[in-house]
Amino acid sequence: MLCDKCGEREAEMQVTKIVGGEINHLNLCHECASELAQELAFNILSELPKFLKDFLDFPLISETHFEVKECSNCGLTLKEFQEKGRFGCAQCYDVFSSELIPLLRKLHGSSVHRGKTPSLSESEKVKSEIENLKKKLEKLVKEERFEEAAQVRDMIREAQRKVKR
Amino acid sequence: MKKTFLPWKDNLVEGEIALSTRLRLARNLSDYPFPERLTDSQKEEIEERAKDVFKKMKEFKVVDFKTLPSVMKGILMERHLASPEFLRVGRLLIVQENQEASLMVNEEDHLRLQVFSPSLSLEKVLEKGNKLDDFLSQKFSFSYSKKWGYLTACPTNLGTGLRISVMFHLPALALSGRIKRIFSTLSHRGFTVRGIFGEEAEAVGYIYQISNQKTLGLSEEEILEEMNLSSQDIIAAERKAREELLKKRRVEIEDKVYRSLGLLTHARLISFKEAAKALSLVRLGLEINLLSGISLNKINKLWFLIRPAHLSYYFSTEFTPLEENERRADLLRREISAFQAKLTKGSKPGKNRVERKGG
Repeated sequence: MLCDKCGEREAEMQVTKIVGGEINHLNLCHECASELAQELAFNILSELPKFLKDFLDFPLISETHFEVKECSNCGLTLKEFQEKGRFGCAQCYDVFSSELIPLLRKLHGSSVHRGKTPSLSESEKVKSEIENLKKKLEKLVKEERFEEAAQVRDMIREAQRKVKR
Repeated sequence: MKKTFLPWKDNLVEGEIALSTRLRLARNLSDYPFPERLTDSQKEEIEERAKDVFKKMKEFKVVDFKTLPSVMKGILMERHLASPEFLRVGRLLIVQENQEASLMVNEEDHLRLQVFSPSLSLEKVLEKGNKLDDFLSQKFSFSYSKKWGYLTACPTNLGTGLRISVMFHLPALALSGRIKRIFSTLSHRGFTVRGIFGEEAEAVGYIYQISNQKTLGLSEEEILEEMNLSSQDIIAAERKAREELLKKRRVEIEDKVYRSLGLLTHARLISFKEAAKALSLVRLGLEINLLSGISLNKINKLWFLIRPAHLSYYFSTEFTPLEENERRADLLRREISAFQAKLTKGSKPGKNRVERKGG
């Protein structure tokens, strides 16, 4: 079997990648696997030298599973979050919630919001959304980005239907 | 000071001990990744929307950071209207003309609203902050979850997104060494203590900024109430420390106050930190009636004017660090005349020597 990444060398190991609940099995050659491992720089990085050594000693097909937690919306990895302490987008809060809750307890002594809520009603929200989409549409048409404009137009129609309901 | 788009305002700082109150709300728009992951055109989109919102509101000025001279940026930072981080990354700032509110667009979060008020005025800043926040929430759809509240780039601001800071002048607590214990109590109660320029830990001129650490799990009113209780404790502790200093270490305190006055009125070169410390001790002298003849208002004003960007603006020129120290000394001598200050109730010469002879 050839490597899924370079398509040139023989695949020597299987890697399981889980991104936002989506599971991918990759068959990789030695070079591509170590490249990937370096790229991802995940939690078990410290174990990597040993696993590579073992691998070199026994050049047979070996199955190695490691989980790569990554936000499917913005691409932020757990490792990046741990280094910077900042999330990339709102969805990260759901993706990393299991790691987040203990951190929140430590930071705030709580993990539940008890403060104010945005003062906007749902229909007002949709209306302001329509206004923004209209502006976006105008801009896209001006720039002759018609395909994107068509998408935005559909979104406006969908939103207008919601208001009428 | 000559006329600027941000004229001098006398009550940026006011009152004894608790000098000013600042509130910050962090908000993000639901249709975009957080600022660090925005593309340039997305940033522009958000900035255009913010401009649109404030275009018709006369009392708000839209400040284009891309073309703003660095001295002006420095002045905005020195008045806390923009953060040090915003000076590095910011492109659009919205400032209320009376300098009571500012909105940083695309700092760590999409919108960072700040409200300012002199002395300890927690309710006032919360009321105004809520009003502006409600207004903004009609214009933008905020990233919000029922469970976690307002979603922020950094989980340290999650929930209310509310950080309330009070600036305290605590020379007596610092001089008596009691400040360490107070700060450790505050940190147990969930407050952070910092120097004046946010990230910097060192307290210049015995001025400390106390802020809430917890933003999640408490309502805005509860955060305010805890801040109020702690503030009252800090004020009472500083008052007590001042009384004790006067009772037990009077000569020492007089010496510090009068030396500081001498420094401000006679120095030819003076750094920001040295000037800030001397101003702080003169302020203490005025407040505990060791000195008179200088208004606290003047001290408050000088407390801003000695900062590098303000100083540059005052003399309408840029200078080297040595020149800066020279100009600062010039400014202080010009503003505080040695003859203007009166020493009041000071110990009489010789009095202490006689006492020591006897003992």
